[in-house]
Parts: sequence; C-alpha cells; structure tokens
Amino acid sequence: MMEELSLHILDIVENSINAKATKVDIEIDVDKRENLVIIKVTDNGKGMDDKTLENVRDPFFTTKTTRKVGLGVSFLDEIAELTGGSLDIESNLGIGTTIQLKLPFDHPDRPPLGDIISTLITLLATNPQVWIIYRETRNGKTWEFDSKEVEGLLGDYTWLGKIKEVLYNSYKEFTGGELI
Amino acid sequence: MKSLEDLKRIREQAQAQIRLRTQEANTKIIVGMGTCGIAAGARETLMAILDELAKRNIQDVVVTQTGCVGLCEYEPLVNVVKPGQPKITYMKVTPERARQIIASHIVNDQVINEWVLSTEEGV
Ligand SMILES: Nc1ncnc2c1ncn2[C@@H]1O[C@H](COP(=O)(O)OP(=O)(O)OP(=O)(O)O)[C@@H](O)[C@H]1O
Ligand code: FES
Ligand SMILES: [Mg+2]
Repeated sequence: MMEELSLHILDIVENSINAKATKVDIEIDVDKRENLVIIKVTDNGKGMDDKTLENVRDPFFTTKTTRKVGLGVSFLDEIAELTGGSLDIESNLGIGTTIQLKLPFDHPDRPPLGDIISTLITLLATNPQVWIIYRETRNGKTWEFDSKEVEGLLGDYTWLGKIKEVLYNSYKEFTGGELI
Repeated sequence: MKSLEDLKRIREQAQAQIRLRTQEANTKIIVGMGTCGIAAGARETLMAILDELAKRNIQDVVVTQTGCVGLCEYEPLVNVVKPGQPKITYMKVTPERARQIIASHIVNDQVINEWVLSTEEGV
C-alpha cells in the first residue's frame, strides 16, 4: 500500500487540510542512538470531538461522506503495532490536532522515510494558502523549511520547479545522501 | 539552512515576472489526494503534471486537489476542466499518462477517450 513514511505524512497533512487547518507543523526526529524515528504533525484545524477521537483509529470510521472507510490513521496504527512503536493523538475542538508516531529505527517493518521533498512540493502546489513548516532532526543536526519563504512564488510552476531543485539540493546536503 | 538564501534570491529575481496564476487561470487540473489516491501514486502523478507544465511553460492552468470521491479502484484520478467544456475525469493516471494528457488534452484540446472514466456537463 503506502511504502514510504513521506506518503503517510502527506496523507496525515491531508486530514489537517480537510479539517480546515491554516498552519501545519511537521516534525521528524531521527535518533539512531535511541533507536527511534518520531513523526509529529500538529495542525490548527477544527479538532475532533470525543467520539471522533475515540474512533479515529478504526478503519471503518470516517466523517467523510463519499465512502464508509477511513484508512489514513488506521494505517499508522497498524505500523505502530507491527513494529512495537506507538501512535498518540491529541485533539481539542476548535484548537487543533497533534498526531505523533514513534517507531523503532531498526525494525525491518518500519517503512523508509522516502521522498519527503515530493511530499512538500505536492502540498505547496495544491494548497498554497496553507502555512507549512517542516523540521527534520537527524542525530542532532536540523534541516528546516518554512513555506513563508516561498510565498508568492507558488502560483507559477516554473518557479515551483526551481524551488523543488533548491530543496532537493539543500536536503541532500543535510542528509549526505543517506537514505533512512 | 543554505536553501533559505537560495530561495530568497529566487524570489527577488522572480518578483518582476510573477503573476498570480490562480486569478487568471482558465483551465483547472484537479488531482485526487485521498488516502487511496496517495496509495495508488497520486503524488508522483502530480509531480509529473507540475514538471510537464513547467517544461512547456504553460501559463493559464491551475493545479488543485480534491479528497476522496469513493472510487478507489480507479485512482489516481485526474479531472480536467476547461472553460465552456464538460469536466473530464481520467482514471488510473500514471505519471506517463499525466504527461500525455497535458500534451493532448491541455495543449491540443484532444481528450484521450480511452482513459476517461466520466464526463460531467455544466461545471
Ligand atoms: N487532523 C485532523 N483534524 C480533525 N479531524 C481529523 C484529523 N485527522 C483525522 N480526523 C478525523 O478522523 C477521521 C478518520 O481519519 P482517517 O484519515 O483515518 O480517515 P479519512 O480521512 O476519513 O479517510 P481516508 O484517510 O481513508 O481518505 C476523519 O474522517 C476525521 O473526522
Ligand atoms: S476511500 Fe476514497 S478513493 Fe478509496
Ligand atoms: Mg485521511
């Protein structure tokens, strides 16, 4: 199904956008010494009521009207269970939602992070009105991207292509090409 | 972060030429970004669309997204809406199909019927 954590991140941010968030914070923490990959997505969307929060992990629960299944969050729950990690969800009506996934770095069933820049460019292109901050820390070093930096450039696909290139290069410098 | 300065430089260079596409766009390309769409490859399809538009320097198109429409088995779904024409929904749009849809439908007004899932008048 979804083979990269970066695709799950895109899917989780889609939930935030569907909840009318105007700001989404994506935080990735990779700590090999602690054997941990932590993904945390915080939004300022409409939040969930108690009933929704109770059921959000259930694949047969959704508030959308087009289909009777809601798979996004249940996938994360499954990955957490499969790898011995954890999924924490905090949500307050009218304030927003935080989803945190903690996975053991070295577990063979932990999906790779994958193409995070494609996820960011997808979000920038299709939701230019949403403020997105991405922060990744690997063993103490941090790489950050704030969509405010490219505000006003997003309506033009030629410039978006250039932004993509710059981000790929800068991110590659940060990771040293290491795939995790 | 090195890209910060790079992006600022890009932005300054761009200032003169940037027009806000969204306000003047005639044609809309809408990509399905529900969970099923993403699992079926919608992100890569979208990246191909952006790349093809940039390569061809196409100016009057805006790309947006939509959530789940309940048609999982046909994902990735891509809608093309041209002014005065019915909305065309393409199914199973791989990156390669996406590039061909741009070349044929967007540029030359030739719908690729073989990949059309549905046509909707009056949108
Ligand atoms: N960030 C969020 N803010 C508010 N509500 C949320 C958020 N994330 C999830 N939800 C609620 O939880 C439900 C289940 O989410 P989930 O991603 O599992 O399925 P879905 O989005 O409904 O459908 P799918 O992901 O399969 O397209 C959603 O319908 C929504 O009501
Ligand atoms: S559940 Fe929405 S397209 Fe499959
Ligand atoms: Mg979802």
